[in-house]
Amino acid sequence: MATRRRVSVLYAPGTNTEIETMEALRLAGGDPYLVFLKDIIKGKVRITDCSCFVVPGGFSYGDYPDTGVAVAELLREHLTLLADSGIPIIGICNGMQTLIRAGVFFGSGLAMAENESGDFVSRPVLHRVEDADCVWTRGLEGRVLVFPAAHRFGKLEGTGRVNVVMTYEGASPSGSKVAAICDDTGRVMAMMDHPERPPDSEQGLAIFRNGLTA
Amino acid sequence: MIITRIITVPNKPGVTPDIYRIINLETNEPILDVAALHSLFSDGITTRVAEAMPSDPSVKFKEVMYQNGVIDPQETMIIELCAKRGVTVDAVKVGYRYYGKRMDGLYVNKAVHIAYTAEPQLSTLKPRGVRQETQYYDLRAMGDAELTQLSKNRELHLSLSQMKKLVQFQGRLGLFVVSDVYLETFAAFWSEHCFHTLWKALGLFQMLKDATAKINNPNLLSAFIDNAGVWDFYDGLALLFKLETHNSPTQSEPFGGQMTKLGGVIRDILENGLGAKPIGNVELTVIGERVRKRYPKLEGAMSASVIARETVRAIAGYGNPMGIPMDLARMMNHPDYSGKPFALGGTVGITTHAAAKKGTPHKGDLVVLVGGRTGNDGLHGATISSGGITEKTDTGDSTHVQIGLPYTEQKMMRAGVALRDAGCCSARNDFGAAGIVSCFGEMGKGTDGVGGIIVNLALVPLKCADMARWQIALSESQERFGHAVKPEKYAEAMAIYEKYGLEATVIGVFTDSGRFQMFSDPGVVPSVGMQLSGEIDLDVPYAYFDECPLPSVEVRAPAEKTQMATYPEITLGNVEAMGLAVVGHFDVCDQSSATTQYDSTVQGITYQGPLYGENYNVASSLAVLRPVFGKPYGATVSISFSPWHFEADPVSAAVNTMMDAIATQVVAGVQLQDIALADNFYTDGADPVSLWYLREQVKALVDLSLATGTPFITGKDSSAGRGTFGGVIVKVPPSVAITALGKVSDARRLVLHRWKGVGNILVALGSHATRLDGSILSSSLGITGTKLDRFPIEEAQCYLEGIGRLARQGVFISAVPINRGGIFLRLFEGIEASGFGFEAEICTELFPESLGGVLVEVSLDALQTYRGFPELNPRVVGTILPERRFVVQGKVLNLNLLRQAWQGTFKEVLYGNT
Repeated sequence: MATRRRVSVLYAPGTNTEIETMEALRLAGGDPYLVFLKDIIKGKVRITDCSCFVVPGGFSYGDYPDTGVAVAELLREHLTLLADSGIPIIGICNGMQTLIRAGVFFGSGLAMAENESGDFVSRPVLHRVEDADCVWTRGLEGRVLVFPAAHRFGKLEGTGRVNVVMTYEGASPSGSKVAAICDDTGRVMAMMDHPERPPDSEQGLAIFRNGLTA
Repeated sequence: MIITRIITVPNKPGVTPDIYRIINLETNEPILDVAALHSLFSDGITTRVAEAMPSDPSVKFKEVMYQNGVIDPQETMIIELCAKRGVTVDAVKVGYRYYGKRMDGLYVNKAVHIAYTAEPQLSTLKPRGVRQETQYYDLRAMGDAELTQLSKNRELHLSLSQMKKLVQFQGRLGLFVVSDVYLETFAAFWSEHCFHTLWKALGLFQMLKDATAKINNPNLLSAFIDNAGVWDFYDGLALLFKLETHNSPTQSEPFGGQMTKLGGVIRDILENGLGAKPIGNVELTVIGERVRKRYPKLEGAMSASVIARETVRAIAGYGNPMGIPMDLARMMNHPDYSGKPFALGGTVGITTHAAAKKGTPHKGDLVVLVGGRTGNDGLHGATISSGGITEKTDTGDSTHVQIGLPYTEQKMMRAGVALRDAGCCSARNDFGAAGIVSCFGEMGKGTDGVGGIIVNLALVPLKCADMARWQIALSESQERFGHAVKPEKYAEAMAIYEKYGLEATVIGVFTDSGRFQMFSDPGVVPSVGMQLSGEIDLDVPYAYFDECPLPSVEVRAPAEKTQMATYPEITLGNVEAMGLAVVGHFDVCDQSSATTQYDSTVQGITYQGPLYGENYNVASSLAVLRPVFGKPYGATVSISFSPWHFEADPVSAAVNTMMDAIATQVVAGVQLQDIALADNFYTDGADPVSLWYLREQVKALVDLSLATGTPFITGKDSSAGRGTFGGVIVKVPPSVAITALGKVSDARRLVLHRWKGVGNILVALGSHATRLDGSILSSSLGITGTKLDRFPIEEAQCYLEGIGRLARQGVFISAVPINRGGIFLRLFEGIEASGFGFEAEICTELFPESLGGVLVEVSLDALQTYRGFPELNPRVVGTILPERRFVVQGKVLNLNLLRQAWQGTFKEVLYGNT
């Protein structure tokens, strides 16, 4: 029987989707652990001690002073280590905002803006998986996946180069066509919507299984 | 002190900014490299740092920020981030400056915010204030007039008989004087909010409790003794729910009122028993009329549109960060809610059987205050404005209202479960009205069955400048939690608090003295058997609190209605116009633009959320959650209310409302005995006629509860349903919202709303109302109803069991309740949700609202079966068509027009210019 791969799921105060994310990872065959941001900072836990790293959704540090800023700032040096490690990483919703703001995965030319509606948007949305060399969506190219959106700052902006992994099919919750991107290595994916809702969604599990077997 | 202002603006080249964000940083020393902080506040892509504000003094602006006395929620994080970049910051205020059209409709809460129209001259960002000394009174030396005046001056709301009782207590205690803490504590304990004096005087609470006890439902784990009602679930788990209103705060400050409404009811779940996890929220707000027709002049009353807009912002602003899915959400309007809205919120939770029941503190347990710091938020004394008040001193910036901060409360979502599972606490409670007095005072009443607690007010962590001790004791600062921590678990508990970033402080100890004791002596940690030291604020036996004199309440029967409302005949000639009037009514229109702003899928447990259908814009009547991963168990929630029904016929409306909440569950397949209820009454308690209706409503609900075996297990009454503006009194109709919570062993077998098959038949079951009174159509036509068709209580159980049985047998393919908007609206929604069409065989019957009735989809084959169930009173409504059409007795209705009407109203009410 194959050993389950250890997955670190980051928890910062204000994170609010780690439980369902861990359940989805467990169903996908992983061995998820909750890793507290403060333990990483204190050196109790090494950010690279895992086979896969997940930054889940929520409102880390209350989104103060802006979405994703606090975690990106407090973990900056550790995220650099993580980026250099080659470990598959996925940032979901607030996790995407954090990874973008950190600037170490996708460069410094990108930012997350408020949805064009100016509102938080919670509704099911369709995502077309594009041809991108991304480990998280391998084998899913061309498919249209349904996950719920739940965000207010979900519009990717900037002049940085992006590898688009998923685009919105039909109405976009953010106003942007882009739903998910990956870095140049194809191992780091950031997406605004929620493949972990519900955790037993086969479409979501397909993404997590990919990350766990990369 | 040095104030540095970092200004950010939207990064739109060539566009003059009309909104600026200003991060005001207070430091002891000048910040040498301000630019090093810029990237904390601006990403340089969507925003940029501006060098300066526009300097033209002729250009008007408003710059809004928190008052000095209010801690900016962003302060702590910004201080920490600046520290990481080597800059020591002492205080922070984040402001926004608006120009031009940005100022249009800008709502500034003057109780919390300050709005500058000229360049602000900031000398400090820290709270300022003048310490108020404790006031002492010799009540025995006061006559009736003086006692009455004292109660009035301090806004104690104690009657003369209650004040006289306090005089007696002073004598019994042998005190020369009593403190303001003494007065305020009794005022809080004996308030309507805590003691329910009005309800007790009328004997209403006991009626509901007696009925619940008589039903003796085996699912019941806890009712009416804790923050929430608790109901058995599966595998040793329990569901719990609680709903509460925040009507007065929402009227005066909608954003803060609605935020703290939700925050408060979530805390009720978090701190029920020995702890629970919130798994769903429900939201219902009834606003007044947008265009004031019934009350043309209400001086100083908040605009209904503002309340509606701020409600959406507040519910999203609190609920989304909490990570609790929104299950059901709806807004309604009615002119009699122009004085005070009905701001109802509720939360469903889950816990273990072991943690389900109210805890009991034990002698020696530590009194631990957890969460937010204590400020002078929501204090009546600080905002009192009548002249000649000797107690009131100049408190600088201390005129606060409650401020919601979900970030702090969200941490207890996780820590609370960890504390529960580690068995750290003997008892838990939340902080709400009356702060420490209510939270720890209530807990201490139960210590080892005899009561006893000592609290040292000097140990309470404060967020404001020096506060009077009665303010510390009564503060309603939000996001605070009270725990009775077992001494042997102290270290473990503190580790959990620290792990989740929660501040926790031991401020007292539980004792077996039978007394509620509060004192102030810095540095002294209370211990069992200690002599009170320092300044003694309160030292009274708990038994005194039970001696509250109840008021004599006048109840007067209403005059008999002699004239019935009349309505235009509904014909094929006007059915489309009538339909347009219904679908475009605010109460039932498309509100998805608000509902989609509430996260309804977080936690990954939502099976049927607040919206459904192919366009995800039709409101659900039944929310279904699957809160246990890997298990099919379902928790179901329904809620019923219609202000127009209560205006027409309050008692019949109460019966029908309860039937609606129950039938919505039963027709989906929930067993009748697996349903529990919550009541939330809203009445003008100063009106004897309203109290007559209230009493009759409770009697009728008790009768229906006993007849159906569905017990009330939680509830709340608000008797302050009156607003007075410039001499105009606005009274809410005597009303009650009924919420039902159910459980099913397999949610996948539930019958949900969406139509499934072309050619299937829709059948209306249950009592068929014939009158239009109280209906949405009646409201649209401007006709005030007078009498409702009441669901026959004696037929309720047979009917409910009948539809439940058929639902579970799989005979129903889809099902919806026939409530607001009647069958017509259900058909329109069915078409919108399914993409199919419908041909109705009935016309006039489409508009009366048969609360308790249901509309079910059945196959042609099954149709014959229903005609064999006379107790279900079947009426064939028509047939589902393959193409998107709406046909009534051969007349094709204009669906596009109907859709436009349905979709247009909500935004008009919220964002129209009135």
